[in-house]
Amino acid sequence: MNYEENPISTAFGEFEQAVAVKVASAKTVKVTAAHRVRRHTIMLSIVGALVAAMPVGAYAALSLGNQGPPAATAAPSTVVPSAPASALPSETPAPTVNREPITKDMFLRQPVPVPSWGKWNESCPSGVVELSGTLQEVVAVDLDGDGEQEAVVLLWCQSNTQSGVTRVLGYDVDETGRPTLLGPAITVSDKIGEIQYIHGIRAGKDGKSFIAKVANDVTTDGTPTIKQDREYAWDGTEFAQIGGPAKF
Amino acid sequence: MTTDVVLPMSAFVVRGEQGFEEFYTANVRGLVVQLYAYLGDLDAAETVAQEALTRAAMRWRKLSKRDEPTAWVRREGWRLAADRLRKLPDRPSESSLANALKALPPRQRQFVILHYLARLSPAQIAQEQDVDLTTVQDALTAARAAITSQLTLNQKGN
Repeated sequence: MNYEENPISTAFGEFEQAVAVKVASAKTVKVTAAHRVRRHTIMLSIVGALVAAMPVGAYAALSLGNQGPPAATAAPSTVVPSAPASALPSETPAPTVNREPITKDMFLRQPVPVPSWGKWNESCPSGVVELSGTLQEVVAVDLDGDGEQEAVVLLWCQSNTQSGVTRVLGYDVDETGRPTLLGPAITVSDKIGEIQYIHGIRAGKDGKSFIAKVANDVTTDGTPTIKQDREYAWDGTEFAQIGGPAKF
Repeated sequence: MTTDVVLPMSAFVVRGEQGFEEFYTANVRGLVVQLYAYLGDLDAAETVAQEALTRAAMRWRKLSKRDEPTAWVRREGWRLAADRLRKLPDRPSESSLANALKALPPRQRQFVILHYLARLSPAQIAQEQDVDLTTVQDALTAARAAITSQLTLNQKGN
């Protein structure tokens, strides 16, 4: 069908032309973004400082006599640069601000985007959803090799049509600790000879890949017939297997 | 307790931001138009588009490495718009097309806007929205019929 000949195309074209858009400049948006990142990092730093101070405070409160206070276990995770506080965003490379580390809590405290589980598993939660019922494991991996960690996540769901469905998804995490979906890493199948269950995930040796313990079948008593370690990495566009056996 | 966290703004510049201003300029109008068609409220569309692009600026260093940062911003915009739609009062728009779109189910409306305004093919929509191609094709067919009917009625009414 040639949509261009459709009068609807004309209507959309006229609509597009008629809209007069009023928005902030790109510079204003960048300053707003920088303020937000700053605010979030300050909050993380205060939490870090509180954690660092807790053993000392607890010691003081409990009055444990002449024992020395326990060593602080954490420190604020920011690097304080020397530029003036009034400096506006510039093209100059800025000092590193450590992001919040990848944790399971990061994926449990907020809704997270999850793509559809497929037509046989429509009862499993997808969209932007809470992961409290599905999250199994979270592994930190530098998937894109930029020196910062992304997340690989193992999910499990009790489907209406299958006993238990597993999948592995990759996530990037923004400066405010919000996960955004990179894409599916491993999706199980119900076909003989293909991956039917994922038992676990761990980081690869170089920290830029992950290894999944996968199985080809699950017997009625839940015992997998064959388990294998397969290694996967992000190629910039999608996940691909880079190590381990290619078939059962 | 030490909370030595007074950091200068320069520490929070979205690093690798080269290119963001060009990206913003190239995308902001199109995003607003698409969201206006979806929401039927221009002010709300401008607010949502700006929020999506601010979020893109916050993570531009990573986002700019991707093949398609536009797709990320569009998805973010749609996600925010879906949330905003639930809170908007049901008022008729000044645009007859926006009113015709408003009569469509949200999913159909989204697909038809992505097709005609974002200029995505049905296959691209299916990929971006993580749905079957036939789902998109069926929705586009239904949406076109409904819009044509609505616009024809409007013309007769005038």
